[in-house]
Amino acid sequence: MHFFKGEMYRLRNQAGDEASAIEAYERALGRTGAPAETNRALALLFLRRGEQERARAAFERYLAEASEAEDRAMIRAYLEKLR
Amino acid sequence: MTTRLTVALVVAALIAAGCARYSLVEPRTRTMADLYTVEPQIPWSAATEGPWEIWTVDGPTLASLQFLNGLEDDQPLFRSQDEAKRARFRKDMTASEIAELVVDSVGAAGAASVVATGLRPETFAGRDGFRFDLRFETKSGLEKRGFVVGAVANERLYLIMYSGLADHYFPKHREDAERVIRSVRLK
Repeated sequence: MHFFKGEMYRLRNQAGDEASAIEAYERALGRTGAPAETNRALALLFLRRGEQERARAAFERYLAEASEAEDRAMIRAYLEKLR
Repeated sequence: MTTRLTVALVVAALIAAGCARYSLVEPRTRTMADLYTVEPQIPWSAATEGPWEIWTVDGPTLASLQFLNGLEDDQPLFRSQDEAKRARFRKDMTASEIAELVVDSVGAAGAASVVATGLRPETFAGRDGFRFDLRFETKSGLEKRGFVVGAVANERLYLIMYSGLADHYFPKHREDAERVIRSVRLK
């Protein structure tokens, strides 16, 4: 539920939504069963905010959890740029 | 053919084509959006709608190759009466976010069950770009397949999107569309 709340805020992208989305994703990650995409969504938000180290760490967690993710080639390309 | 029948056929053709004015794209080098050139191998019919140039062989409702020619920051992908509510392109978007924008915009334009898969890097007009596959249903419930390639260049979004009815028209011109994409050269 927190993941979907985060998605709603991230995709709506109005004033204050970034912080609300990050809070929702972090709540989701604090519970068991959060989808792997939570870390990807968090990474995209950190990138948007220029927080490259946090973005890199979140992308790496996403790939560690979803090593066969269909967008893994794109995520690896992001990580190359962040190194 | 009577004049009345001719007029009826012309009107039907205009309706089918969304009332757009189509012109012939000959199989020779063509400049797109002042950024790149393409070399179509077959004749296409082309129409312009806002920032989009739409190419088709059999009709845009069956299969089309659509070029988004440099969408500016804070603009929606498709023009509509309720565009104030639509998701907008941001010049700092990642490829993942652009794929989400396409899914959201195609859905808001009336398609159902829109899914993007297989997002991956692909060079586009000399830029670090991306490609992904698309699947959705039309308002009348017909399944369409497609793919999208693109990149952000000079803070503008450039896309080439090929889509068609899944059972016949998507495969029919898929290779023609791929040839156009492979021919993209930075100007």
